[in-house]
Amino acid sequence: MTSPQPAAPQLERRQALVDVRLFLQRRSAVVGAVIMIVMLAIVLFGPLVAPYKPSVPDYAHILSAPSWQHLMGTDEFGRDIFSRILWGARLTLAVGFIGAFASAILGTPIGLATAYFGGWLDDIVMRVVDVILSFPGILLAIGVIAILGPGLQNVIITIIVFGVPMFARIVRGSAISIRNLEYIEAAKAGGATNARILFQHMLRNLVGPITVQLTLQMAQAILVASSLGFLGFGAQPPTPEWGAMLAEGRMFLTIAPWVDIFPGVCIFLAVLGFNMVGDGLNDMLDPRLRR
Amino acid sequence: MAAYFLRRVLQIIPTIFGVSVLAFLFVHAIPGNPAIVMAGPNASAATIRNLSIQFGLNKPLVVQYWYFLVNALSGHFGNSLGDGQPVTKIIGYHFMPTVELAFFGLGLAVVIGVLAGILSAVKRNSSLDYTVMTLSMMGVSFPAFWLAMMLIALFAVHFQMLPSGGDEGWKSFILPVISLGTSGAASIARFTRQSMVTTLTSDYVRTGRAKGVRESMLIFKHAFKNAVGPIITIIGIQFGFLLGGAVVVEVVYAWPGLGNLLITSVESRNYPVIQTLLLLFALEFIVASLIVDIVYALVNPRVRYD
Repeated sequence: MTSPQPAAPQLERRQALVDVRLFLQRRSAVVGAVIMIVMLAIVLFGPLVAPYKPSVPDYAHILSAPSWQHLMGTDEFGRDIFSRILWGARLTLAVGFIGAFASAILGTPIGLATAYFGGWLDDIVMRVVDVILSFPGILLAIGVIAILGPGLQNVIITIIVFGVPMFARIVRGSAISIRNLEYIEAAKAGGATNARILFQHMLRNLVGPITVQLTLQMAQAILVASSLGFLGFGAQPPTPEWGAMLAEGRMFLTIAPWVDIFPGVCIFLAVLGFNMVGDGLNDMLDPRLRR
Repeated sequence: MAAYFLRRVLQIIPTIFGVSVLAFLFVHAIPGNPAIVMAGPNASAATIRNLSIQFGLNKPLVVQYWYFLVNALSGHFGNSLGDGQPVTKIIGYHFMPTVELAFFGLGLAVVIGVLAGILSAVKRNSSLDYTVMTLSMMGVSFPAFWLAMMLIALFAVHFQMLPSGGDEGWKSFILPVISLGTSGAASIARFTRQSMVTTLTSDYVRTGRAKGVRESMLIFKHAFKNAVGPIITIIGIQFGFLLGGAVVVEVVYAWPGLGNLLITSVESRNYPVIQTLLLLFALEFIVASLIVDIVYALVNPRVRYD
């Protein structure tokens, strides 16, 4: 037996998706989107255009200042910082992407289910969420690293440990506001299964807030990943992860500041790009702010 | 008010219970026998046995948790693995520097954030508003540790105006406090603006203006007083971020606080210290949220009757 299709699915889809014109009207969102596209291009093509190998030392050019030969200078092993940044994008940004996406994929069903079913399931799950989120951000990450040990893979796990309850809480909040709407009632009356109501009817109408949270979560994940890298808990040297590069360059802050400037600028720009897009999307979805 | 206060205090008990369970399980989540892991690679069988007994690892988990809880409630958190000192004593040394840093960092964030947010909302859509909002967008995107490094490079190394940490009185505070407070100030500014725009465009403010109420009166008495609720909430959330941010900022400035202690403890696998610190940070955050809710209820009587 198949459950009846919801009325006018075409209309629903139009509402859920982002209105491109509205987005383009927001200057900061557009700037953010451009930054995101550039970062994506670096992730995809960076290593192809990098002039040097990221981890091969060149002891003849140690800590040399930016020049045409080395656009961003070299580090304490004579490695080209520009090339290292192009390679490192895959690490720093990938951790952000994977961490945030995995959090969304795992956290969204939890948020939907707790909002829809309520009762003891909601009580227990939300209590657990409260407890996990009582450990402020990066401290929870450090705690998880203390258990698992350092490494890029474990950084992704820490981001997921924090991201899943975050998503669950936010999706639950949005889902509660729609769970008693008439079209859900109609779907129920029409005999739709719970799974169908959750993932077809409710999820589709929560695409907006989930997208916003996903974008902001990526910004947050990049910050956490690079902080952990900086603290020595993430990627280990000589990996050109941006945070780890900053940790290595810290000792040369006084004599070769370029070692610390460029990786930091890249982290900053990546986070800024995601924040600007997330913020723009959020404003678009909030009718109160459309003035 | 008393009833609300009591209910809110009672509400945090399950959360604190959960946090204590999580902190307790922390030691057990370490792969392998926790005693062997904690004792290190060259430990003798006697050391491992002593650790097993110290942590009660030979007893059932529930019994172990009960011991942990009783000990924690009477202020015993075990001894540091390195020098055998009580964990509470070690944390005591590092407590005040972090409290001072967090206090001034939050102070800076609140003062700058609220003022900038009000200014932005009052002059909304002006070039000043765009400037403040652009700066605040940048402020929330700075990695705190990188900002800290850049401030050192600029003000400690290049201009040689300020110390890059250490213990030189109020001067040592300036750079760490700025590094810590910037992202909070930026967040608070954004929320203050949003909250103030909502109240400034509301009917009662328009009515007030039509009746000829002074503009400063309108902004602070009418609009701000009603906008302050969400602002207080965001300040509470920022406190949690601040505790986290303090960790990396402390590392950059070699600040002798809890953040630095946490990092060195993780590096040396000093699990009793890590466990207690996680518990402490979580409790601070929970208490901060409680204070925020109570202040919120004080300024907004509607909340109390929900």
